[in-house]
Amino acid sequence: MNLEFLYYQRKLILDGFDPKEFELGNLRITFNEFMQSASLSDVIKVIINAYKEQYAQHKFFAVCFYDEDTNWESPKYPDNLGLRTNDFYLQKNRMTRTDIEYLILRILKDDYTKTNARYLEELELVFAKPMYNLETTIRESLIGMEFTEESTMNVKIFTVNDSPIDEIKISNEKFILKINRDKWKAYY
Amino acid sequence: MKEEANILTRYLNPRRFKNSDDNYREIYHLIRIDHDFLENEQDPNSENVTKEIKNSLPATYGDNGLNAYKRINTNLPLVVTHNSTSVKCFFKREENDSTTYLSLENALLDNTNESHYLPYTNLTFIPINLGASYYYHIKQEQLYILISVFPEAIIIGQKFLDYNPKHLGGLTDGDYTLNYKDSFGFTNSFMDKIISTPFYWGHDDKYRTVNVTLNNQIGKVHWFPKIRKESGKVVLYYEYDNARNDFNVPMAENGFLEAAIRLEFNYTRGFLAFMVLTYFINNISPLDVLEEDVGFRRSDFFKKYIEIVAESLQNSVFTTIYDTISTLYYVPDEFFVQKQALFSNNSYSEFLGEDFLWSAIKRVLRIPLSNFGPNVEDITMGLFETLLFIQDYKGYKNHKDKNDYILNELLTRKYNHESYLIAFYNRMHTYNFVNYNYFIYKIWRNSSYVNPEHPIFKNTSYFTKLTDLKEEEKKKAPIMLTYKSNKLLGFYTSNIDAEFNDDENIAFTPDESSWDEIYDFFFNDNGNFIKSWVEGNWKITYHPLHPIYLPNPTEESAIRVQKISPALLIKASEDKAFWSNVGTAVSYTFDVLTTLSGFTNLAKFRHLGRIADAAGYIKNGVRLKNTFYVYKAAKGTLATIEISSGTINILLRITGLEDTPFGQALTNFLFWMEMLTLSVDLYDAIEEGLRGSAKVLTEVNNSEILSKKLDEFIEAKLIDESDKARIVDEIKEIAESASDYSTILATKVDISRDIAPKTIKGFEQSKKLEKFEHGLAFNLKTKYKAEHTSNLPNEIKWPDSIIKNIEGCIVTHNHPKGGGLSIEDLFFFISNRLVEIRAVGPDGSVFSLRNGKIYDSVNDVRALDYANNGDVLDQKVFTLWMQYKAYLKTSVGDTTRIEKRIFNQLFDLIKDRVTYTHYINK
Repeated sequence: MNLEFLYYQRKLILDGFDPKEFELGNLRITFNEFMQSASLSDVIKVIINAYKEQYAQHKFFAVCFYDEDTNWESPKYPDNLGLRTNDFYLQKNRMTRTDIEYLILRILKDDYTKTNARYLEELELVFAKPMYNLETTIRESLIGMEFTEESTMNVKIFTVNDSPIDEIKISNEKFILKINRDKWKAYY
Repeated sequence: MKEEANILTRYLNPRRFKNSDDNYREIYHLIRIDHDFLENEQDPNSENVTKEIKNSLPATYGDNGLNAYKRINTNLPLVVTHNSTSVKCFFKREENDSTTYLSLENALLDNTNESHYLPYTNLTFIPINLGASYYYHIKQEQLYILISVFPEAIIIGQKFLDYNPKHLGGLTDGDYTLNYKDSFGFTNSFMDKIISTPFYWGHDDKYRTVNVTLNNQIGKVHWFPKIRKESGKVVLYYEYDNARNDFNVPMAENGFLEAAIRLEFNYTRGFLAFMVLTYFINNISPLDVLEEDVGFRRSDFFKKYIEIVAESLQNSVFTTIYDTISTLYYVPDEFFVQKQALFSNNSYSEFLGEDFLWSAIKRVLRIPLSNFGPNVEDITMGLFETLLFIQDYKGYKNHKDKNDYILNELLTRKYNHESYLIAFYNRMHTYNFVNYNYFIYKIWRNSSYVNPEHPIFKNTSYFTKLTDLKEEEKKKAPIMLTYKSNKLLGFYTSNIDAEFNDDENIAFTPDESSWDEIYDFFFNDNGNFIKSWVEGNWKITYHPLHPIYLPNPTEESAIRVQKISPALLIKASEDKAFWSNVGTAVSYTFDVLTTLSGFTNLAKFRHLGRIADAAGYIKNGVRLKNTFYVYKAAKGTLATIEISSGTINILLRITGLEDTPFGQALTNFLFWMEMLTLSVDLYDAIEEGLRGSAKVLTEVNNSEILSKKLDEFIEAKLIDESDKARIVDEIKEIAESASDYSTILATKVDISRDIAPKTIKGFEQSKKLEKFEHGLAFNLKTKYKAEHTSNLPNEIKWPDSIIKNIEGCIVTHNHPKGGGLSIEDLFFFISNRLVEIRAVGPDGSVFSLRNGKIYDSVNDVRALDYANNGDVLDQKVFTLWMQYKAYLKTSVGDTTRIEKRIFNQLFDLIKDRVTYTHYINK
């Protein structure tokens, strides 16, 4: 899949439009369609692929499962998930997919005196039903990268070297992608 | 709204049991479940039971408020509780040894569920044994049970009406309205011809009102009532048949015997409609009184009716033609059949014959024909049909003579030097243009004019070869014409030009239309087949009724021409093609005005010119009083456009400026007015075109020229100062309503209430007259500030450095052409998470869209929550944006309608969270 749009910094144009952004818009539509209809393991592959070599704009992941027939205004975020002001949360009833319980993007908003940008710290997907054998999917996705694996009770952790992905944590219940801050890039 | 009285017209129809095809049809009785029903031992045949008798099942579909009944979908048996004040209905369910009841109120709910079935152990129920087909009368709030009865069982006779006030389905004394909008099956009546387009008297239902008084006495009643005029109102008395009743009818206060039913109509129109609904659509004709067995009641009844119609027509001669045609609308054709015995001794006969129809037609020519307001065009077509119809009674030996007569009359009768034939050709604007031409074709094809040797053609139809300098000698006109037309992508093209000359004959010449070029320009593929068809320098002049043989008539003509057509039909096809092409051009949304430069001379504004004529010529010192509003309340648009014929009259007379920008602007304005009067179905485009062009006319330079021109008219004493003021006002009003789709959504507020920072306001005032767009981004919190222009008239491409700081800013810019915030502005506002976006126009007024909507009562502010919803909102906006860009990519030319749709969708998304203001100098 062509994910070029994930890395394109849009232009600022008033009363006009950026033709490149329009061109890439079609890729975004294809991407959304894929993310809403593909198997969960393929979805995870796309997320890893998007980040493993280049830091991508997280806003596209925030809404790739979003069901546009639902109100764009979110109900109040739950209290028990440790969500902060700039974090993003999307629950099952606002998605077209039924196999994801919720999605969280933990976001850091940089000070306006510095880059003034938003950065993804962590992407968390919680499954509606337990997912098994995700390790294979992760390993396949990380082909070409240097990584180590570590297992605790129910959690498997993949630590990736020299990549925007710092580590990937998986269990039967969830998938967490942690970003390497050194590879952050400011997008607006 | 008053309840409908159509039950009455059904009840009073003397033929309601007489339909021979329906001998075995069941009659449906709707029996009301009420006090009377229970008191009369639940006997549906009891005289005291309220019922409605119908010969079809009650209509219950749809929810348009017109249906009286709602069907209750249950098969459960009905039980009731009964006390001195009320009867309450329940449906009884016995299941698994337990008995529960569903109340009527719950049964009427859309979502009846198990919880509604209750034991109601404290109530005592009476079972109703009448069947289980339940109908709820919505207005009466009463339950009815439907039973079917064979007609023979209830009809005692057809010579009289077996009257029982209870059989009118609960109708009681009072005012009701007659609904004749959705009537059907009109036969042998004038109405039949125009029924395809409903005719409204106006929105006021006063004309339809009938006051009903019902006598409680049950008895036999005469089918035909006595008609009296009382204080100018028509009153109908349905009297008891004394010979058949075993009671004495008491005397009423007015000295007459009491009637069973008294109907009082405030307006004659209502009475006329009642006559159509009760009698004429049921094939009871007033001419039946000539039948032998018709009693005096029926004869008197219709004679009185004729008198009322004639009186109404007579009065209308002194008021307006609109009154005449409004009466004619309800009069059956037969009335105009001359020399009927019925009218021979009637002083009103002059209003009921052919001459009256011709005079009505003449009067119609004095008013603008249109279907705005009363459907004058439709009714005029009806008048022609009636004229044709009554010829059958004039003893012609064959159809040809009859048709010749009509065509001769149309050719010889003149109005303002125009024959009726051509006068109506020029005046029909809507679909009736086609109807009229087919009407003429229909009578022409069976007339002596179909013969090319008809003497009238001798001096009117000829062929000439044209040299550069003079017309060569006249030769006999050819009967065969290689007329060829084609339709490609909505554009009609043909190889012939057809124009009327001064003596109403039609000159055909090889095509010089520029449509081919337009077509070429946009589609690059006309194929030269049209052009190559006819070459040479010739002209054929035909009498409009001259027959023309077309070897291969094509279906691709604007009006379908026939193998042998009168010249007028081919001309009609060409004319229709012209306007159709204009319409197509507009629907392809390119700039017709530029493209049509060859056409935009004032001479083409023939419809408009006629409207101006309606106001009469302006004469020295005579103020225009006759104001004809060209256009009102466009369908699907918010505002109204009104312009008086006086203004148009003057605008059409402004000449000599064609090549100047003002002349161009005026022509454009008139062009759109013309489109409007043609009622081409492109409301939005027309409205925008008209308003846009009005706006150009009111621009400083142009308004000065207009003012000077109007002064010339004042000097020539054609108009006075107040006329001038009115003309300027009317144009200005249209221009000001020239609100684009964005502007109309903004709330107008005095500019003194604008709380924007000085930095912003100062920038706006300094840039408002710039020809290029300039932008300023300013963050109140961080004090970030950046200014930029791309030296482009309608776009600002900001440097990459600014994007980093754009979030949370107020962004302002100038719109060199004015106008509200654009669709792109809205996208920009959302995708950059701005606090406010603003645009200043050359007039200094400012449009502002601000995050946050204030709900005054509690000082509650609701704003866009970018932190939690920004990305999702961005996705929504992205989808709209992609749609918008895709539309733009695939459409040609003016895209206003698309933009309007997208803008509205976008605005709808956020309107509860933002404040859109237009700051103006009040």
